[in-house]
Amino acid sequence: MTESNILRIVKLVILIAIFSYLLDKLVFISLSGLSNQVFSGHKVGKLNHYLAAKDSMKVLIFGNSRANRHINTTLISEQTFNMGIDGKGLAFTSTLVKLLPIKKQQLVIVNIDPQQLFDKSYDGNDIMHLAHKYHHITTIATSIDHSGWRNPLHSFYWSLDYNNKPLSIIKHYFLPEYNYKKFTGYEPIVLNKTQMQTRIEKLTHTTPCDTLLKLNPLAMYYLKEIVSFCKKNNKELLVINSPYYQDACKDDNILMTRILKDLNVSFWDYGNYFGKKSTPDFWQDKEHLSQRGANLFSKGLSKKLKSVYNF
Amino acid sequence: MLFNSLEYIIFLPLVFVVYWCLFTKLKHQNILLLVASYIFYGWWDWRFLFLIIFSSLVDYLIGLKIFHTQQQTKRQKWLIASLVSNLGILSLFKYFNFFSSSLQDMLLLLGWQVDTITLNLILPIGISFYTFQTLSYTIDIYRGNLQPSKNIISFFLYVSFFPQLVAGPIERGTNLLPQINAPRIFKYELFKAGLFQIFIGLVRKMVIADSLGVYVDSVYGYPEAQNSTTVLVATIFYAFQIYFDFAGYSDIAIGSAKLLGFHFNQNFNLPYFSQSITEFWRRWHISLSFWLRDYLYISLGGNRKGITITYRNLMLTMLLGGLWHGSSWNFVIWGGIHGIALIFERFLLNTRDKKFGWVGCLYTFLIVLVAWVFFRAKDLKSALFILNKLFEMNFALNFNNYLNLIIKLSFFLTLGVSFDFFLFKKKIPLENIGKDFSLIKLIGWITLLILMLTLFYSNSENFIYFQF
Repeated sequence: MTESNILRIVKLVILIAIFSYLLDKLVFISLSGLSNQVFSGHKVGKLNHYLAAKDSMKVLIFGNSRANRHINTTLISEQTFNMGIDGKGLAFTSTLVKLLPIKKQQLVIVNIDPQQLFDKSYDGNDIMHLAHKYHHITTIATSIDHSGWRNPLHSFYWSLDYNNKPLSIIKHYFLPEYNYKKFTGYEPIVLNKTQMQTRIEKLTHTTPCDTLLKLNPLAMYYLKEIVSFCKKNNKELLVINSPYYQDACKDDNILMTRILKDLNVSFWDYGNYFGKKSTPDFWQDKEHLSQRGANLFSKGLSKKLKSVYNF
Repeated sequence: MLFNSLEYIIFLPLVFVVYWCLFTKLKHQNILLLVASYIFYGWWDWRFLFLIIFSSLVDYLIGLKIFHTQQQTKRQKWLIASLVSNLGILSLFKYFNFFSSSLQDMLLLLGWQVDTITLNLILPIGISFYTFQTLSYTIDIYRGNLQPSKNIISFFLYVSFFPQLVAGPIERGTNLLPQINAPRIFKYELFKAGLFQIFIGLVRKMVIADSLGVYVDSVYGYPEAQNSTTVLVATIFYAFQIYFDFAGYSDIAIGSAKLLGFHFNQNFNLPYFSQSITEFWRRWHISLSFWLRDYLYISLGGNRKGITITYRNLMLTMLLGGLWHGSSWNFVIWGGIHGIALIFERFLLNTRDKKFGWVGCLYTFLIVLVAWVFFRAKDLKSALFILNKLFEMNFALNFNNYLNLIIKLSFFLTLGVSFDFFLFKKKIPLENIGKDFSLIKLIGWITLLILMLTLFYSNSENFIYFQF
């Protein structure tokens, strides 16, 4: 290759790097500005809402869709916020818990499905859902750095932290889905006609139990992080397992009970909450309650919470 | 190693710099490319390197034997040896279980219950592609269209050259070997075209195809909960997912080759603008369709032996083309649908050179769409269930909470199709588009494409065509 060609290539590569870097920062700043004003939607808005509300709340609920869709906060207390988000695991939850104010007394309820602790495929990638706050909140940055999910490209192109979020930000900025001031994080499942028609098929579909249960070390690490933070910072921690439609696999429940007992953490297992009283009307599928089922469960949970805890 | 991985972002520039700056002699450049190609392949599973080396060695020796043997019967025997060796390995890894279970099912229908053997083998990535590539080499030598490679390094590089190793384009010896054996001169225009094509390919794959895949997987993964609308939307999305996935892969492959001074043939030429299935197969996976035409259809007699034999040849070619994609009856049916359409067009409408405008585009897209159902569904039962859902005509505007996702995906799809429409209207092949860009224009385009990638890329484990 001739020297002039080498120079041309070097020039091209450097200019692409400079221009793309500058455009990236411009877009990042614009998106940050917009996203900070978004308070609806799971991708960005709910986290902003949580950050704004967390310090004033007495009860905080964390977990995946089974926390989000099952626990009606209004039945517990006015100062309760449900920060459950679909598909999120313990890495995400642990980082959110660590954002709570230190020393303020709060009740932290974490919904953990027993299989989450034994899920071989769990890799902690759910933490990247918080990536857009990497450059804004140190606790999030530390957790993400520790997770190892951030590659060198993220340091150069900050917009990567907004991956797959811009359209949602723009949508919720101009058309908020709800009035967040009246929203407490609980999002019940209201079934449409088709979902009602296909419900029976979903409820009868069976999946085999995992017979070789092996603790996922990453899930365990994040669970211990939650426990440690709560113990040090005046938080009462309660782990629950919300209801399933006929939970046939019990080994993971037994093991999880033992693990939490060893960690000295309260665990309320509602896996078989409805028992024989369960009807398809309470359910969307085997893992998710319908609005009706969620309200019934929340009433029961609330009653027990009020009898055990002071808030 | 995947084209859309961090490893490749490091690997390609590294090979590029060492190749052009440190090695000036052709022999050294070829050795470097061969080593790089084996590293690229071995990154996935180094054990299968032995298979590709064995396959290369067999065809290298047979190629020489065919060329140096005068007697026609002996030449034929050597060719058969190549066919048996290549297709034997392919059959063992890819089709053994399929034929074994199909035989079992057939005997069961006749009332005999037998236990057949099944093998638990991993399908080596790219085996279908490099098998066809090595086959074309020996067949071309047999036909007198190609002289065998005298240099073993050149031939091994021809088989394993990393941009085209795992999913094509299936390059012929007549195109690639002379390029491997001739000194290569760096051309800045080719570099620009290659760079631009790589980024277009990455956006097509990582932004459009992978995003569409999220919705397609959710619908095809649970068809029971769907209505005709969601199935139709998912099937249309799949048609574009597979196109942008494979065309995107081919763009990165062709672009990477250009950076190293090689010209690959075009593999996709805006297939959804085709006005007939015949035209579709001149625009879709061109390297495979032309391979099937030249080495299978023509070998079977082509259209030289009367109408009935031509029908048969068309159908056989498409059925085997379907089977090439995977060991499942779904792929055979997929090929069969295309075969029927080709026969229909060729002999009832005589459409070889007729154009039907947008009506033709619509007809072609509909046929292709129905066929994709068989291609995507996990088995025959699912495919029929999905088709049944589609033809229930329950077009309720109920998207099972996926409306937001569908709107987002439609936005990506519009971007992708608009770019294709621009190429179609301007009659510019993507392969040439970047070479005439000014410095500022190229920087502007690549900067925008990088921004699209950072903001909208979607995670996917693999390219769809890797499984074939």
